[in-house]
Amino acid sequence: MSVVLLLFVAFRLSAQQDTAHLLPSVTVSALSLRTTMPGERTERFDSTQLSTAQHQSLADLLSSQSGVYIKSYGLGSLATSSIRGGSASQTAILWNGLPIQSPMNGLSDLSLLPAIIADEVTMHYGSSGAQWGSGAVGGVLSIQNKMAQKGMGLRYNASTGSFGLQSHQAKMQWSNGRLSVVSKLFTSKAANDFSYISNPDLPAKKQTNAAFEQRGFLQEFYWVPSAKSQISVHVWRQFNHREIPPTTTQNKSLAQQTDHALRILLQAHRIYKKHVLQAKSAVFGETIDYQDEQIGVRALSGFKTYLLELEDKWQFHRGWQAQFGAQQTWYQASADGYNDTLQEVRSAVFGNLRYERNQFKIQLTARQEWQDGRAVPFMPGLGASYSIFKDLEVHAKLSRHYRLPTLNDRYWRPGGNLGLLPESGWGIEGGFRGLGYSLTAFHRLIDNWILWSVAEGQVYWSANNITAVRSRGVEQRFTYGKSWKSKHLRVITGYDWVRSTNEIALTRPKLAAGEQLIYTPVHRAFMSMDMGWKTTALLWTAQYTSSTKGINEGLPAILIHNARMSYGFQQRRWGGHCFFQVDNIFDVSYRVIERRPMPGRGYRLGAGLRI
Amino acid sequence: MYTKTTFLIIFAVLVFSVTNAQTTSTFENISIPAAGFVDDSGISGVFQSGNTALHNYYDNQFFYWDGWAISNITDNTTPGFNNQYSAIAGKGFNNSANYAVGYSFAGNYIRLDGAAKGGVVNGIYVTNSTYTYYSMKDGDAFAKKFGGENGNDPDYFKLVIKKFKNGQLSTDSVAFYLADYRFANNANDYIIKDWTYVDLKPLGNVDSLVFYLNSSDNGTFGMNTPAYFCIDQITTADMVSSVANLEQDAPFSISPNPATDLLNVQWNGTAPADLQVFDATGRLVARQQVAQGSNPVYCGAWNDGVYYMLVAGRGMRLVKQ
Repeated sequence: MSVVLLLFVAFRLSAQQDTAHLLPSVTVSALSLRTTMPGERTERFDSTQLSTAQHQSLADLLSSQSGVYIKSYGLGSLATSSIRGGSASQTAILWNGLPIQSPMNGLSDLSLLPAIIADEVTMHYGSSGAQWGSGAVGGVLSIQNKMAQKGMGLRYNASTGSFGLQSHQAKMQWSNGRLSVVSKLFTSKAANDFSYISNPDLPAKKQTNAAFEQRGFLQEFYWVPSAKSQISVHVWRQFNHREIPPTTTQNKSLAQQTDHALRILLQAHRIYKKHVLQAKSAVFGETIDYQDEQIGVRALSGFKTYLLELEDKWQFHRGWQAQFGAQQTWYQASADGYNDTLQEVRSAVFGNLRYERNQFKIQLTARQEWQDGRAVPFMPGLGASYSIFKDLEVHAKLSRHYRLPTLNDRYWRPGGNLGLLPESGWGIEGGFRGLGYSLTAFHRLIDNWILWSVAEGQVYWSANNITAVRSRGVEQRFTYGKSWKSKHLRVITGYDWVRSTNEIALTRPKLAAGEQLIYTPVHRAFMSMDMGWKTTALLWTAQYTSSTKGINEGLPAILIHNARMSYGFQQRRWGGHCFFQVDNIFDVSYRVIERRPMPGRGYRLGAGLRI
Repeated sequence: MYTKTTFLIIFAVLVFSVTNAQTTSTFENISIPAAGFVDDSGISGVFQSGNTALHNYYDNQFFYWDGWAISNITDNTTPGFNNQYSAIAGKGFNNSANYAVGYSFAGNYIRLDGAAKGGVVNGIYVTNSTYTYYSMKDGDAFAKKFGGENGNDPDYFKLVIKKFKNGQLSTDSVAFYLADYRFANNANDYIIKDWTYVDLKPLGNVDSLVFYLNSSDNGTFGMNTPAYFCIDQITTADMVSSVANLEQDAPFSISPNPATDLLNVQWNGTAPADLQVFDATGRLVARQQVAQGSNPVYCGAWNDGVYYMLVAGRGMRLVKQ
């Protein structure tokens, strides 16, 4: 009997379900061998969606076309995510299966992740600490790269727009099936000097000190020595400089920040008769240079992450497979707030057992991790799905999750607390999907939530495990797609209801028991409609966010519409496209973060060529 | 029973103490290193100047301070946290070099020592710190510009001074607005920039002073306005130790103290006694007999100031306001 070897996850948008792929040839993504757990809800952004967002950041993409709530301080400014009512540091950000968040604060600024970097983006919703480790509490954002197809290709896009916006992206790829080279270059900048209304009775104000510039490249080399093995190297270098604008209650700001990032990943895999073995080694480094001439501040900080990961997937019986692996991570970090250059070591072993038969899938997952030798609570997870018939699947998942205290939480002076426990808890979800509609209900409790607070008898803020947060909600998605000869229509809509409440009354910070967390909307809805006729297409997106509570004041609900009209053409060996985009069509004056105005209506004109 | 000679001696001591004994804490006695400030008082936990002790907390692990620091920094133009030890006046009161900077969100304490212990604090000079001044004037990344986006927000930054007496925190207080934007006419809005005198006599006799800061700019994490202010020239109305002893175990009490129009003297003796009130110059301003129990004394006609009351040879200070 021939051995059917299951390998590598492929995420499919339409069904939003995981599918194990046979290995026809070595068309290998750089993703982990860890498959998407049955019972988990995912959203995948395919090449079509990504191609229309080449000039944007992942923050822009997720904000306009997913249920992820993006907390943006403005165009080019800090942007973090909140998934299912979780905090920004409770979203794990993976690049080819490895976490790239800062160990200093647990965050990854999504505005610094250009969409062009990714060949595929997948959002995994819900707790999956057993799969992906610390921080995978609200969800996981997975950025993947893929080996180029045989042949040569060249793409170039350029766009210009309101507020001095200019961006260029180029992608070159070549492959002969054994060797493959992919180069991506990108640059964008904007003066970002938009006008905004702070008070209806007063004239509009112009945003100042808000310019940004971003440039970088991703260089990839793939080598396929045999049909059963592959080695690849990925180098992602990026520079980002941004001015930090004043708040609406600040006369001026001279603050600016320069970020450098260098991420190098080496990975290899080999396929055996019943095994697939994959090894990864990575070095991620980032530096931040924050300066504010006005107040005489310059703060340098940075970190390096060294990662080793070994995974094996074993198909040991028909329908059964096991996966196990180990990960070792060394962190180094320095900042003015630390006494010295810090080091932290994390070790983890993980594995899963999966059974698939007919329309039934079930997976048991487990992870044990140690932070500086101290054991983190054992993390189990169990997920299952069953297709009742072709277009109706029910699914459920139970998983434990955790988030380790960051280096800032542990070592910052004053207030770092070496006695902190990891945030941890259980999440459960279940739902069904069929005929383009899906509904998922979830409940999650997180104990030992880490907050900076003033403890009894202390005179400064410190990190403490002082509260618990309960999140529950319902997520609905509806996807419809149809093609008629030269026309197509695709509609994706979503509505999320999320209550995420603090469970223990606190005085400083002032949080009542049962109170919705700040910057966590209860209602969020989005719509993306893509209509095409021959080579002309119209993409209309709309996002609704209900009112939220900020640190100082409330923020009203927001409804923002964007539209993009594009025209493409194809000659024998080359093609191109041009587009016109309008952001915030109805010129809504709004803020996502209090005292941080967002731009009104803006235009963008762009064109691209491909060979 | 006190003899006439004894009474005269007591009176003389009292008059001397009330008229001549006052001490001013100028902080000029505190040595300040080249950095321009000292925020670690060492094992004593206080900066001692005159008859006052300013509480200071310094964390050697985190290099963090709280309470009071002593400074002679003159840079009053640089905003931000890095200039946290500076007074917006750019110098101490009356061109002196040193002044004290208060920082705390839990209250700043000043203990009265020596001859000032348990007595009246006449007053203190106060101004904003440079950090807080520019934060209120221009806003910063965390705190709002006073007046808000349209300039009409009724913002304020208030210093509230209370006292501890016999271990009890008073409900009475003296409030002083370090910034006040509550005026209907925005032209009247102000932020204190100079050393400004705050009269603390209304607090009456105190063991310790406690300073609290309140702002209209508050969020989930507490007050956004930087919790700093500066003081100089604490003047205490001291007394010689014999007078302080006279106050102890006095068989009568005065309420309210300070008083405005009428005060009550609770006389605990069984026999009637002679009550006399002297002003700061030693002039007798009132005299009457008191019987056991509550005895009203009308003081509406007295000038505002510190007085001394004698009953049966025992004394007690009181304040008329």
